[in-house]
Amino acid sequence: MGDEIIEKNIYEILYTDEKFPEYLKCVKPQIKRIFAYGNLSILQKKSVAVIGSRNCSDYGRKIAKEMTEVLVDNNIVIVSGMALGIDTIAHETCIARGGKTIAVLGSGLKNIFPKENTNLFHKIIESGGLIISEYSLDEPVQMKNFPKRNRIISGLSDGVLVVEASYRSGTSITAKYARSQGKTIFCVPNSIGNKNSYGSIELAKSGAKMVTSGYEILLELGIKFCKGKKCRKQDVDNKINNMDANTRAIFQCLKENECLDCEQISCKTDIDTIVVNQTLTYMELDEIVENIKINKYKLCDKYCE
Amino acid sequence: MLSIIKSMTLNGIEGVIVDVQVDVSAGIPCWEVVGLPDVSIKEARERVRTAIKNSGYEFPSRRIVINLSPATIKKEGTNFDLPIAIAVLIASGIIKCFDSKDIIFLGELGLDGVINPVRGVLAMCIEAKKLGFRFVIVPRLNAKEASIVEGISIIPVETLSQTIAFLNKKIIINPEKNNIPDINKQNYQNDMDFSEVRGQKNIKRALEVAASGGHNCLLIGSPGCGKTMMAKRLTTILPKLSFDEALEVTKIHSIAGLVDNNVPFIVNRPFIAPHHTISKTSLVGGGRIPKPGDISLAHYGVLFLDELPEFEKSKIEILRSPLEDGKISISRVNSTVTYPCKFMLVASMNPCPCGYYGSEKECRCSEKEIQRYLSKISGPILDRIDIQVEVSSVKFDAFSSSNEEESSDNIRDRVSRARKIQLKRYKNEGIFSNSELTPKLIEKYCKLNKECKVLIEKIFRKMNLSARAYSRILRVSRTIADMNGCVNIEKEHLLEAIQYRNLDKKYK
Repeated sequence: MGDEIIEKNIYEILYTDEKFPEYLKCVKPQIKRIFAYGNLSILQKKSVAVIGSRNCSDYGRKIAKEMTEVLVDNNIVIVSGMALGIDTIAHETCIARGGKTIAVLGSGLKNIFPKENTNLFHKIIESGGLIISEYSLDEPVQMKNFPKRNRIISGLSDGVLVVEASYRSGTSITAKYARSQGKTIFCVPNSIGNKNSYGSIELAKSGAKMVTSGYEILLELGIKFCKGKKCRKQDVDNKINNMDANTRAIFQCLKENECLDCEQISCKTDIDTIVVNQTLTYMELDEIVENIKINKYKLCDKYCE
Repeated sequence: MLSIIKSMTLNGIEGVIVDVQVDVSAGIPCWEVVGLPDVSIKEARERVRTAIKNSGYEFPSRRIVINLSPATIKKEGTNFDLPIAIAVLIASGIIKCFDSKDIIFLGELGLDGVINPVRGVLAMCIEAKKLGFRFVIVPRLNAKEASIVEGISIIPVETLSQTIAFLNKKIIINPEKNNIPDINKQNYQNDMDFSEVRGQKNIKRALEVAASGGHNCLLIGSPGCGKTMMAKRLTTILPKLSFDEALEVTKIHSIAGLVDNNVPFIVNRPFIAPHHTISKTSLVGGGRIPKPGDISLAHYGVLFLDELPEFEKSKIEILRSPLEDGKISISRVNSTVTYPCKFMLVASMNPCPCGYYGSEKECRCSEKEIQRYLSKISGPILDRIDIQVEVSSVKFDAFSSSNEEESSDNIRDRVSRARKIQLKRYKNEGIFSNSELTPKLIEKYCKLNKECKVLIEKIFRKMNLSARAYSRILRVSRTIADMNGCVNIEKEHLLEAIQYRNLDKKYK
């Protein structure tokens, strides 16, 4: 993808322009202009910022993914900063779920940072998303710019979800801006002493809303939602009824336990490991089970009551 | 007066005949060695002179010139001490003329005239027999090793004076009795057995598949789950070495100086487990005058790299071509040698830097840290590892259960059967096992029926696999089919093979 293509399709929107997002007008320090690339119309939609640590944990990754999915399913635009870690997960989950996402860069649109996310940059555009920066196209990557761009992230969104934040992180800065802008901040419970939990816990202490699922965010923001895309129950029942003996035994076994590997399934069901392996491959293909961690299996959501 | 004695040196794993020519003439006393000797040969002067003196003979104080012919090969080692001493003694008339054309001398001298053992005797004796020599005079301690070779008389000697007396026909030394080892019995004892591994049926099966097809394998698991324990027992389920294979293994170990003088014949498949601080040279072989490295010592056996990501990346990468070719060529200024290295690579690693990803303990690694850890193992290396399985920790009930576990011998019988099928099938292809199948041969030997084709297409679409994973799955399926004695790959073989590629699925 050439720079020229990007250059041609970029809008420069001045503060005085009609198109300038209403939300950003009251952001301080004042934004003089923004450069936008992509689908401008999504600026009008309800949006939530999903932000968090670059060095996120397994837990953070899971939470960010789950909550983003719920938000996207209810037509919320996801705003984030295209950094590594939680930001990337938020964008990617959103795209994979068929939603629209806005990335706010801290550098010029021609200098994508971090480099690893060049692909993501293009994917966002292809999926009908939007990329915004307040810096001119050629602005180099400078550390001092990143904290400042955080005010745009919070400014653009109706609420800010902080998944994981360490002590004195960029995430905390975004939260600070969000508070001064009067946005609702959501945070996620995490264990005390974990390096990634400091920020979330501090936020909770100072009045952020603690949430345990995406629906609570929707409720707080006053957005109507329907719970989950309940898949056709009949299909599931059909599949369960048509299982052969081994499949059924493994299915029952996984239903009683959260997640197991081949060895454990074999122990509990008394089926030979070879057969367990063969059956699991089938069940994975049929989307009855899914593979998590390295070789553990759990039932797909639709089979968990 | 000029005298010429035959001795030998090594080039790679083959012996080479060297003529030791000694001329003792009138002139200012001096000692000159020519013919590309290294330091250990130049030092022979003091050993030879003192040994002759201490054996009760007079060292000629004349001009002594020694040539090691062919003079173009670089020579090293102490095995020329004895031939030089004998040649000097012949030239100075202490040893009467004898027919020296048929005898090869090997041995290192001590100052007291005792003859000490040398390296690589087996390889040299094999070559000597090929060239039609009738006698080899070797140090007593090397005699057992040398006597493995049939059809050549091995004369064991202990001291220089004994050798002189023998050559002057004053005493008779009986040739060492031929000691062709019984490959099935001798020193075949394993203090390890697979029955000691409790539970872990899945991994045992994976290792059985690996052994049956000669597939390289990678064990992933949290600390203390038994990766190393199982890898160490892998040699006990591999088929027994044939006589020729055992001879080759012994030869390499003899060259590296690692053979036990009392039980010189190696019949167990070697298990070599270098520490991750190993240098490149000692891993693949080399040195100014090349010596076999650990990968050659693991020839026909198992090379076990514990904690694979801890190895420097460059050290893992140099394994690429040896893994492919089964041999390693080492080029140095002085010479190029080729050592065989057909080994099975078994590696172990933790799933993440802290070691507990996916286990019951909580993992505290970030995604980035895990990615960095995994990226230490490059694609081309993973490409050559057909089986990647995760080992879970053993639960207490499996540990304490009184269930009889299968013994290594039982498993080995099945493995040998599967290997035989492969040997028969590939006898015209120049390969021995399924792990060596190239994409072209995969097309020829891993034909899929319609049902399987539909299945594998479905799997590919669902699991997002690469072309690389495709050949891997087919190779492993072929082995599983062989283990079941099936001519064609069936559906269940494919379904099982897919489960042995954990790292492809990546971490989710």
